[in-house]
Amino acid sequence: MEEFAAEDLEEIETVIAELEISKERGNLLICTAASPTYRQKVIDVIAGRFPVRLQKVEGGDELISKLKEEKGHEVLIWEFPERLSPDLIEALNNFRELFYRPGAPSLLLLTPSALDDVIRKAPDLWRYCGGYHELKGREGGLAFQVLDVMTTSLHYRDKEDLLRRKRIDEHLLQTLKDERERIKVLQDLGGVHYHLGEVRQAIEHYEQALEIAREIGDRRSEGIALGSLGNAYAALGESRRAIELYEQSLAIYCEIGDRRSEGAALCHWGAANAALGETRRAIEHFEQALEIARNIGDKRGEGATLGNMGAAYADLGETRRAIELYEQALAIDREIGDRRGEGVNLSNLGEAYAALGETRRAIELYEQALTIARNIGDRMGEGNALWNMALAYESLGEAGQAIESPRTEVVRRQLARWQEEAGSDG
Amino acid sequence: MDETLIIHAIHYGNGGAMRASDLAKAYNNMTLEPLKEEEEFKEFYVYRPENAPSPIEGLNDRIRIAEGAEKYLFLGFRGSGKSTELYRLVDMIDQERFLVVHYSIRDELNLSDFDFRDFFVSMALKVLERADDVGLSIFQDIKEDLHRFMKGITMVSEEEITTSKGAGLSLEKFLSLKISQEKKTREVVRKELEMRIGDLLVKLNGLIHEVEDLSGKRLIIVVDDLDKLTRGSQAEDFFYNNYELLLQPNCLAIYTFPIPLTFHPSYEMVRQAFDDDVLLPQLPVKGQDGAIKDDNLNFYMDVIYRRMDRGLVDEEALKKAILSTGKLSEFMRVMREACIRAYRRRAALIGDQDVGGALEKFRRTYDRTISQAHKERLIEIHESKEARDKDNEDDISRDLLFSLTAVEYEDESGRWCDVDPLLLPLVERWRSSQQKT
Repeated sequence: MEEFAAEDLEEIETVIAELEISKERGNLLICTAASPTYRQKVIDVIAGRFPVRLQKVEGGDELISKLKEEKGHEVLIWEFPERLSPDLIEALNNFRELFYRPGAPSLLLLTPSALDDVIRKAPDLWRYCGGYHELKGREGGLAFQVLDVMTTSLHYRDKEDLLRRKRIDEHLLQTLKDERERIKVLQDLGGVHYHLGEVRQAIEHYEQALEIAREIGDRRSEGIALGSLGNAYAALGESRRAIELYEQSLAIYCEIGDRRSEGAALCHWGAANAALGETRRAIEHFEQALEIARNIGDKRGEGATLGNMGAAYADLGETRRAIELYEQALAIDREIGDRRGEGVNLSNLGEAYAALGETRRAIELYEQALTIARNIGDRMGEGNALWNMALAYESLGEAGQAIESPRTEVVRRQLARWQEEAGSDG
Repeated sequence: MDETLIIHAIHYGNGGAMRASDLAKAYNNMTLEPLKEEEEFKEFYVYRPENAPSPIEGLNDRIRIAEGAEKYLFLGFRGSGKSTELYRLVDMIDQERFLVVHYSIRDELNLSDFDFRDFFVSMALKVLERADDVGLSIFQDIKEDLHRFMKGITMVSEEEITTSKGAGLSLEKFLSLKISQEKKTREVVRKELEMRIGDLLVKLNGLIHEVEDLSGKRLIIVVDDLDKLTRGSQAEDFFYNNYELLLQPNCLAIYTFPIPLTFHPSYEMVRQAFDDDVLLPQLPVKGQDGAIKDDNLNFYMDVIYRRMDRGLVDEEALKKAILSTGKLSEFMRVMREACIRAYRRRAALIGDQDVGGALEKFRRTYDRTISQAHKERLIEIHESKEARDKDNEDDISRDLLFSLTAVEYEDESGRWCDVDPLLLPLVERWRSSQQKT
């Protein structure tokens, strides 16, 4: 049983108990897992406990005829495609009583997506089944990527771009006297360090900017510096501290009536809540941010917030809702030409479909995300896409299909190298 | 006490109907299948409360005094006990005066691929079979004419018929199997009957007359599981485009009818063509005002106490399961899930934590699978207590009733709809989310 995720052990043992107590009487159980290899592990464990007959079914007529022929096994395990065709759904719904006919318990192995179809479109089967068990699986792809709505956004092609900009900023700081201009350059330099992964240095520059802003009473710059510090501490995993800073920045934005920044602060606050596992609280903040973005017509803020909200719902296991939100975010990204956001949302959408067991569809989305990441030189996005694709192929038992990286381990190393290249000091 | 019985959908496999004395047996006593046998009725029936008697008694009275070939629609949500009520009705009908042909189209036809032509072929075959069962010597020409007709429209060969006869199958059974199992045969039948459905109905009515004449009894056809045709064009084509054909057999008939279709704008027209539409309502455990209905609560409790010893379930936990579900099939599923939880933790009885865990599991699953548009409609239904689609294109309410996430109830104050009680804790959250976005 060690091959199962710890949180699934109880579910697996319950399945076994249900099969045991109903083995001569008939039963209809449903078990879902997103990954085909994980579903295979379920089969292996059950086959180790009971005499099992495995039936693979693709279509409705095939299911009906197999059900009618079946008799005399201790446990029947039924395997289905990732998505159930309409005729298969109808057959499941209309012939569900045949699962009891053999006098042996039946276990239906489905993807989460197929279970959704059963609940919506085959209610007779759903109502009739004895128990259902949703397995989480051992490994998913990378965690969703947070879309930032930083008040000062940096655009760069590669690390060399960033290093050049760093040199320019440092040079300017040596000669600049105007305090407001110094604040801007310090903010920019902090952003460069942040993107280079040198978060501690970023904090130093933001703090200098904050100090000057307070000295000269520049409330807007103070708010920006506080928000940037919040982002930096969030990147270091200090989410509580980040939240305190977001609260302070939010108070300032409210005071000066900067609605756009107010929305951004709420969105970042929500992301920090999400990082702390306070997902419902996160959604509340995203909802407030979304309302502001829509009121002021801030498309970029709206898209980023929708994407983050999607990730929060995905975190709650509400994958369908997450998909709806990612798709809305994606439409906005395309409308305003935000290629990075588009790539991130495609990748997150892929994650959601992978969670539903629609692995092939997920791979198509990762491929699109990969193309975008390469086009815009987003190395982390590229690494994420490759990593997720490798995991998806591995879950299909086709690890060799992963683009450029025949084995997951290779991708893992590649990703680690990119992260190292990015100069993480966190 | 009201003599009307409600028959709960309970199946107990090979073990016989017996109240469970341990949790493993209780688990097996809580699967869903209509009751049929005398022993099952004796052990597991629970009387409906006096304030909400079964409509079957009244229907039996209507049949008893009916002078014409009346046609009834029998409606009820899935899992509310329709099939068992029909078994009950068949048992109640005066066998001295009526000859009953009772069958499920689930057994006779392919529910996934089904139309009115298959339906009437199957009906004629069932009447022939029943006549044989009770030993009626149907006039040879009538029988032969029907056999020739059936062979013609199914295009079976004499060789196939001889082989099936050798295997002990009657011609009626053989043809029925071919139609239910072979797509090609269904296609042939439909093509052949395209212009000849009237011909088939004339022959069917000739047979009905012959059966009534020979038996000296009135024929009554009871067709179960037609309500399983609940989706899309198949159900609408059968009930809305061809409902007049259902009135054609010249005998009494009862057809089960899909309740989600009653929310379709065309339903009123169909309903008026039939002599009555008889509803087997869900028994609400709470009224529209939220007050608990003790009689109904006790009814649901008895459903469980018939199936397991009282000591196997904590009374408060049981009440919680009832009040949180409020419809039989879901209540049974929650109790079954709670039962396996208690069994797994080696508890002596099903407790609050088991029921709470089961409820939460179902809620999580529903919350994940219900789309935004459906959530919005559920909020509307909860507020208005009505479930209506806006026009012919809109089928959200029907979808919700089909999947039982919205439920219709009936009590002395009338009929109303509401969200599945299991989902009520989620409604407030959806509503606040809706207001924000």
